[in-house]
Amino acid sequence: MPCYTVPIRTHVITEQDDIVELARRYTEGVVEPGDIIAIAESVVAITQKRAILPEEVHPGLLARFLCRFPGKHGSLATPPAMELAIREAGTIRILLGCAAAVLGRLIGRRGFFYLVAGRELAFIDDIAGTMWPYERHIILGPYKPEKIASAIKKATGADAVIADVNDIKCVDILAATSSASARIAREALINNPFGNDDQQTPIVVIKIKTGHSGYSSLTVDRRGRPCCRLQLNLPWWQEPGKDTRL
Amino acid sequence: MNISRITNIWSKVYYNPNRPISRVVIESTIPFQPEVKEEPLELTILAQGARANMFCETIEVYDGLIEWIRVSEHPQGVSFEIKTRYPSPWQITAEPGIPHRTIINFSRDYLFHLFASKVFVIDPGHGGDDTGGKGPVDMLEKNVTMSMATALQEMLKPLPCKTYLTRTGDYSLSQWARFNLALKKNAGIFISFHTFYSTDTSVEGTAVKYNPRAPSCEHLARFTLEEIIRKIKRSSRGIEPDPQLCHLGTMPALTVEPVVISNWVEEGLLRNPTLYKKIAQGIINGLIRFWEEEKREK
Repeated sequence: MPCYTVPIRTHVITEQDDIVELARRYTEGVVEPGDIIAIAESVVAITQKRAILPEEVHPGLLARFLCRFPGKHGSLATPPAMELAIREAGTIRILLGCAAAVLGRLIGRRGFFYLVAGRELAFIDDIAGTMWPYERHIILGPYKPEKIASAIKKATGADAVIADVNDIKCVDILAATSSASARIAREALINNPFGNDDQQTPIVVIKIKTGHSGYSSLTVDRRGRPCCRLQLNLPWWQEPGKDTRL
Repeated sequence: MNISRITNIWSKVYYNPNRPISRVVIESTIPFQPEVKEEPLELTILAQGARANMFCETIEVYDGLIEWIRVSEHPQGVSFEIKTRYPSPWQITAEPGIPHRTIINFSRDYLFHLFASKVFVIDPGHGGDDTGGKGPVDMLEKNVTMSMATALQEMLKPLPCKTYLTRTGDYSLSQWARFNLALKKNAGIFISFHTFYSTDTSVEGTAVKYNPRAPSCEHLARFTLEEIIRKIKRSSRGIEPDPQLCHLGTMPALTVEPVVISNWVEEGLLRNPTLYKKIAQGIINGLIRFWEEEKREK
């Protein structure tokens, strides 16, 4: 379904913040009936005090051994991150996941580890996986994201989704208040409006494109956004300081 | 929704053919009436009657032209103070849509003049069998220095200057071969990329070394260090003379160590491709500051 995304720039969200209150405050006057509020999973986890400094972890021998095997660009490549994964999922599930991963490698399939050990482990952001000032932390996946999504819906009246998105067009919906909103968000967030650097836009309002939007007479750009670029081809640099606003 | 709600502001450099611009984009729910006030190094735009849904703060840009943007909310609307490094022609346009975009384009012509006919020799440290330092997970210094060098070369490409890389692939190269290229091309500046390695994994931060024989090179190193730190937000390991660079005579030359590869966090940061662009921008900002100071002294 064609839709627009409206990213909202926030402050640097910390564990002192209440994500439901933030979603309500930042989307006030922007969100309308039928819109969807999308929140980046990492900030939900940060507000749940799930950002952990590696020096507080003290990884055991098993974590030190197992962290050698996952992909080095993945989220469990350091001993502290693997130790946290073991604590989250339990040693037995992790070992079963490893056995599944070995089997997967033999038959040339990937992702078996997370299938067995738990999908939530895929949402762990290893050291330097999150923007400043959380680059020193390991960020676990959010705790009970469905509850957060429901609370946001209750506070704002709009459907809500908690999503994990990256720059290689992978959208993972962790929780959604309806299956329709999950489907729409999966499509709308494909270009990662949350940003993967210091954009500070962890809250995005998704607006559904309807026939009465008033923009139907305008041209549409390559992302499907209504667009009307004005005067961009004028040799404006020859007129220093001239205000050519319309 | 009769009030225009400001939701986001961002900026980006666009390299149009021969006419690069810095673009500041203000996103809002509906159009607002902008009131513009201009000073030599500052442009203030008041979005009349608008309200800020976005967080109001000072946003650091440091793209070589735009220094920062201060967003603040007043009873009469939301104001955006855009601080530039030097006076620059500008233009406001609108892009209707959801969100509505108010776009301010700034000309970067000044950089064209500043970089005109300059020759850069960029040296990605190590290579081939000489891997350099190794990160605690798996990253090799010879690969990350290559990424840093190519990011700087890419960023300099749209400017009217010449750039040469001492190595373009993964092969060993002697220090003499690297210096010889700089001397042969009569380089205006030689920049060598390295990362620091320590057995103590808690050591971190940025350092810049300079050619002690080149006049004012210490200044250049200090500016470069400050500007890289502004961009990548790492701690400082300071500046120091690099006796090896003396072989280049009085040619301004730097050895840049943006991060410590043996540090867990900094090795992790090296996996993010935007880090390399930020390092390159930091170096360019340092050069701009240095040449501006040289001009002033003249």
